[in-house]
Amino acid sequence: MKELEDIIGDWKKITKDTFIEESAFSNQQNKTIMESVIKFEQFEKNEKQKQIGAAMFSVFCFASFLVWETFGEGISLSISRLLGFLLVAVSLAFAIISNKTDDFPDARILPTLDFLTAYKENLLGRKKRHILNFIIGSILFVPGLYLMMEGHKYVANHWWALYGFVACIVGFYIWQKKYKEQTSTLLIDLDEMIEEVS
Amino acid sequence: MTSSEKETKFIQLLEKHKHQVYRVCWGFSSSKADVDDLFQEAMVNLWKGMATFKGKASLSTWAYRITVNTCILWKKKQSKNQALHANTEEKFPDIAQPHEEPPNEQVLALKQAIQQLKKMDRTLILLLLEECSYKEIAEITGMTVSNVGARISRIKIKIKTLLTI
Repeated sequence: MKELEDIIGDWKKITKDTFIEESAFSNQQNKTIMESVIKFEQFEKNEKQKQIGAAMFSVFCFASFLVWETFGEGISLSISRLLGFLLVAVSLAFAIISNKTDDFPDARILPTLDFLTAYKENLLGRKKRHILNFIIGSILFVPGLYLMMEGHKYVANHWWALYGFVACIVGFYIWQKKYKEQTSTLLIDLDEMIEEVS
Repeated sequence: MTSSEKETKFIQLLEKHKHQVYRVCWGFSSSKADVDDLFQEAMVNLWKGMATFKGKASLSTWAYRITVNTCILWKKKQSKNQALHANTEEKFPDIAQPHEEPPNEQVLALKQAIQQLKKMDRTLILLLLEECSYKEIAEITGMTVSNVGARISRIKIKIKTLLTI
């Protein structure tokens, strides 16, 4: 068995431009790689645009609902209903903004030790941000929806608001539990790697 | 950085370093599909990072850093790739050169031994195989030079043991 240093030459043959006539192939390859990368980036941007579009569509639906209540059902457009709509719109805007800040800033340019440490801090901080976002979102959205729909003939009693709120809490709890399971393995890996690099 | 400057710099990066990036990804992957997946992710991260390249570190150090950081946290994301390939017409071109010989047995045995190492050990040995100096490896990983040297000595012994089993 050769020494490691003797194998380096063979190792580096895995890919290597050795022939001048291959430079055209290499140039074409570079161009194709770059185009694929740009396409991938555009795909990611489009996905984010869709999320924003979906949120704005939701706001439009709630606004349409308000208009229908007022002109279709003849329910008076009171200050409390308008306030309800405003709270719902603000909660959706808040959801968009807080989702954007949840993106981990690309710290891959850092040395590995700093990158792993930053990644771990971000992951730990994310759980707290999720809880905070949920609380703030609920404080805005649920009362907003309640105000918009109060007195409506299809939701005459007030218990639906409580049911909805409890369902949100249960759903959030289940989601957090699953999220914790997924991230705990990653956190263990991160701790191990940080210890190795330190 | 303007869009065309970014493209020019990226092409320069590809010209000089795509094979190094590919070899590091190859060292971290167990199958051709995984290499392609990981290489694609590394390339995307390099592209995204182009705007932040300030020239403080050399281009190769910077490229290795992003590649290594991509590899150590990489997990198979098959559903994500399927969605991407459903929306884009081309996959990445096969990085292998047209006249490339398949890797010899010793290289494959070395690769298998490397795959049994922990991720950080794998990183160090792959960078060593790229003929990075201890100083450069320390810059890439954030370790001290003496720590790099000590770890690499231990890793070499471990690899020798794995290769003789």
